[in-house]
Amino acid sequence: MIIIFQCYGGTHTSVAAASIYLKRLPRRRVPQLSDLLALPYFDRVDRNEIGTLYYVGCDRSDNPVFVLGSGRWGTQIRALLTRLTSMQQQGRTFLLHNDRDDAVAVIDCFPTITGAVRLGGFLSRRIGLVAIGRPLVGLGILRAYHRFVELVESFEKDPGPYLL
Amino acid sequence: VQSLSGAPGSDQPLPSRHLAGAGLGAGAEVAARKQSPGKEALLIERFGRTSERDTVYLMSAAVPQPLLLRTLNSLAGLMKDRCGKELFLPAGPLPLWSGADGNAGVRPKEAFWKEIKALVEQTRLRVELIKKR
Repeated sequence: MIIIFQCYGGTHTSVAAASIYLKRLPRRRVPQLSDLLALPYFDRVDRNEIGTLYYVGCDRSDNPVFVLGSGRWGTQIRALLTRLTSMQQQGRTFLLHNDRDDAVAVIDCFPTITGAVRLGGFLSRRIGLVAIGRPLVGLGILRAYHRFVELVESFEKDPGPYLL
Repeated sequence: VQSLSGAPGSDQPLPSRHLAGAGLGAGAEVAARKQSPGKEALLIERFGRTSERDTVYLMSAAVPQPLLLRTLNSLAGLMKDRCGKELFLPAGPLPLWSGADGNAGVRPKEAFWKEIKALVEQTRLRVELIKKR
């Protein structure tokens, strides 16, 4: 299975959720801010990179995990992925062209976004006030950390609704 | 190699209606689907096969072209990594002709057509390069 965590910029909520999924962040407690800020790609993807798939690791079943920023076009990008997953070419689909691949799951992280995350992300990525924006977005994520854990566990419990 | 967008072999300028909407897309045979405002606009149509048996698809999406192209290129790269060969090539995006609706700022049709021909030629060369590897 190809697993894609999707959010607005592909650099905050999707990275946090993917890291929880990959067990790089704890589930039973809220991590330190420094743990979050040290994650690869966290608050480091620029606006002009939105739309790029970033590989963040493999889960225990060897499924590749990616993060993807889709800006305001999350629905449309999801529709595109769905279409490419269903399009048949030489007996296989465009995206599932490998025997190891049987599905694509897209986990939308938009529901986890809080005001602090939005404001911090805007300050850091849009205006360039990284010193203020980055800690703010980190604190915003930590304050709503349970939402991220719930999202990840919901996917692990039943991937069905997330499959394209 | 599957080419998304582009229409190699076509000699005629494309009717402007085929370029409606943002994103990739063009064609001489496939009629663009009119999307009602607010509705997700995504069109992917099989256009045909080239003489070298590559399949050409046309695509149009209501997503900014750079974002769409980055996503398609990422997916192409992902598939290449997983399959060991390039299976599809996002070709484009084609230029938008602002004069399609009779708006101001119409570019000369010749300049518009030159851009399309350049893109088609560039795509042809990229496909050749992929096959030579």
